[in-house]
Amino acid sequence: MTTLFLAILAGTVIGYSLRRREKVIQVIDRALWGVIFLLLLLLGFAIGRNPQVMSSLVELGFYALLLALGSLFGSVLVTAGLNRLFKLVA
Amino acid sequence: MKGTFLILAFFVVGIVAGLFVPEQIDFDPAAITSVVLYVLLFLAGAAVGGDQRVWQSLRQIKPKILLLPAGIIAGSLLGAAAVSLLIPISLRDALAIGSGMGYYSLSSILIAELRGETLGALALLSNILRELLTFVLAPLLVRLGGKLGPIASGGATVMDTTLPVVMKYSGKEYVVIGFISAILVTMAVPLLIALIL
Repeated sequence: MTTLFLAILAGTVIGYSLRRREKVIQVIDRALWGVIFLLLLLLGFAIGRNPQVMSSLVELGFYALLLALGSLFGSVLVTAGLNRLFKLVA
Repeated sequence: MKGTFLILAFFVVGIVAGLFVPEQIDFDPAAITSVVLYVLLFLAGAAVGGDQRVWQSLRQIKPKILLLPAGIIAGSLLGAAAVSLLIPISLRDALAIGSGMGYYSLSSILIAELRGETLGALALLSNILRELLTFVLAPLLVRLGGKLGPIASGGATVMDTTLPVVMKYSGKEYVVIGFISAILVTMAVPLLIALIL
């Protein structure tokens, strides 16, 4: 886990030091999206391969919706409360 | 966050391929070694760190405004924890999914790596839905939670896809504050997931 943190930290520091070299940053951005697309393709592949996951996709969708609504409204309510207490915005 | 459609397309193509490619061609997602994960996190860090807008915005921060991303994170975790009581998903897994805060590409991959493809799929769906719901519910959220509502709802996605929603329903004066909050939320996503799982 420490290595995960270090990976992000190292990335941020190096990204920061390269921030004025727009071409390099552009390449990093593309590489990031390339890796993400590839990994999502593989994640999809693993799911399509797995009959157990495929047969529970509707159920998963329903749980996903509930989790999305829960975290969304949780965020909205807590920030509204904080705003009332501390006047975050004028 | 960028190109929701494109991301979904890659995911769906993957599923279809998984369904039809003959069994002999085997692939185990656990075989994507942690090295790829480190590369992913390194690149994600570098993309944020190299974004000039990020540092320009962060310079304008007043300490009080840190309460906004803190509240978004706390609320997200609380909401996901509450939902975990209703469905057969463990508290820990629900917290991990809730800490995606709309950043579905990174969170789903991380969660799939750490906890398997079922949970990865759940994280992907849940966090895409959070982004879509932000688009749909924004007018209602302004009435419910004030002008900060769409910023809270959008979470990490306010850095790109849902920023126009914030501009439209909260107002132009909320764009900078929303962007700053989204930067901090985005940076928190991989850290939270690594901490929770």
